Amino acid sequence: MTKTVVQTTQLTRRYGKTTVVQNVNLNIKQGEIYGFLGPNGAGKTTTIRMLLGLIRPSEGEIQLFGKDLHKERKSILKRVGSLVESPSYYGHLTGKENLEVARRILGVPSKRVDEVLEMVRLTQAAHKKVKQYSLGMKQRLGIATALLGKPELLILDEPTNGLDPSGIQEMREFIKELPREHGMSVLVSSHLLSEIEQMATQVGIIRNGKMIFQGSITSLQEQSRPRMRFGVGDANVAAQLLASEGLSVSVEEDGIWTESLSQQETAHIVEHLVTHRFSVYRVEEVKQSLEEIFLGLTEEGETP
Amino acid sequence: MILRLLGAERLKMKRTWIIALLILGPIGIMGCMMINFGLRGDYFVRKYPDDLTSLVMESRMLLYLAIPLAGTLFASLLAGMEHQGSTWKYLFTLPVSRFQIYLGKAIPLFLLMTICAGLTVPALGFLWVWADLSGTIPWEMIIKSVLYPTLASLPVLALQLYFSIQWDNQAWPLTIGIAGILIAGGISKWLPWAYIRNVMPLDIGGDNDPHFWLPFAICQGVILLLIGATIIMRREVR
Repeated sequence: MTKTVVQTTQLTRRYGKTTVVQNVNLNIKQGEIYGFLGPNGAGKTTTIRMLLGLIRPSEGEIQLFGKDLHKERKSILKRVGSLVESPSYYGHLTGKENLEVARRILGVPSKRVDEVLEMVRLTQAAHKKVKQYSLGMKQRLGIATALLGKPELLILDEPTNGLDPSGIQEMREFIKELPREHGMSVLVSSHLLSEIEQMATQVGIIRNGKMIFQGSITSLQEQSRPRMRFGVGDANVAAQLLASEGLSVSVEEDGIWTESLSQQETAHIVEHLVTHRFSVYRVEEVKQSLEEIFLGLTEEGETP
Repeated sequence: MILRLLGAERLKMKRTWIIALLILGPIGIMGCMMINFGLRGDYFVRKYPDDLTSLVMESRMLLYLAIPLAGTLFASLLAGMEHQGSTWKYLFTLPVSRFQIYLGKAIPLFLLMTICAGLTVPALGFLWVWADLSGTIPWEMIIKSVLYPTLASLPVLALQLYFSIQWDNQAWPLTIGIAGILIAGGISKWLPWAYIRNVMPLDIGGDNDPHFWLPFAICQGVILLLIGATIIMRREVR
């Protein structure tokens, strides 16, 4: 059985009267890339800050590596690397000096600095002052700093925020390699499903502070029921016919849509249409894209 | 652990004003005193009973301003660089206790002040010779009149460090620091800024009493430091 790296129980955080995070049960297993998804302001960063001990939960428990965060903060944080929101850096120091500051505090060997610089491909810019870095480079330096202590768990909050498309792709490829090559587990948050979809093995979706879905990407896809599309000549009349038969159909620009049907039902509809001399030129099953599912999940029940 | 934090702190000071200030402070004090004695030396002979008193009394005026000002600036520079790069949140996710991180700022602050004081002593010694004051250089008295006020500034240092860490806009702690220097000492001898004057080894008709004020200031400094650390330790990091 794979070990659980992060486990929160009924994690709740309130600011005054507003509940920002409500009864969140996060579960991340070893070696996973866990995509933490949700629209802006859904409670992702608050949850992550609680995981790192930066803020305290109002209720609930946090266990990292099977240990209580509150009781064993130091020994747990030794095994965690993190990048929270905007990158942290000393602008007046060079990239290498920034890592050296962190290295001195963590007490890891000097050669580790060069290793992580190489990993994020900043070796070339190592002696440039960080205030001259581009945002992408600062972000990479942040990741290098997070990797310095050879963490078992890497927590990245919106690591691709503000990066250009090639930077995003590079970051994605980089994150994907971490579990394979270094045995790390990764928690990565984002408000973009397309991003998570391409790297995560598991996803947790949070909306208004509540976890509305947690599971594998494939099980998320199964959430969507496929629909049937009938390409028919004279769709409006055909739809009336089907409706009079008691079928729930809707007419859209590209044909008649119904909820998913069994093979028999499909055959029945086709037969019906053909006998009434409608020309049927396409019958297909259409699956919702993940993006649509995500939007459906996050918009559901949202008050306007 | 604390040594590792200090090592990191040392590296962070690279290319900052901190090092320049460390040298410029004592040089500035010496320069002011040279001008002071150069222009008003004859008057001092009539004003004070002897050369030693004139040196201590005149440096007192300057140290009363310079020590808390240096402390305010050092505290603000040490804390400000963490605010600037939003590195507090990073530091607080390291496997180090928050108390140690606070000490990792308090100790360098105190060391910087001590180094400044250490450099001011020979600077005043030089002044003694330069101004052609009578007798051998009174090292003991010079050390006391620099070291005592530096130690007595501990409460001010503790306050300034706390304010500088608490607020990311350094204009506030700087305002408090300067207002303290200009106003607080005049209001009451019990306010921390006044201690610097209270501990002078010599005074004319003043109420200086190093035997009382020095231990009092040091104890208060330590207590204020612990209070500041406790508040910061409990604070949530945004």
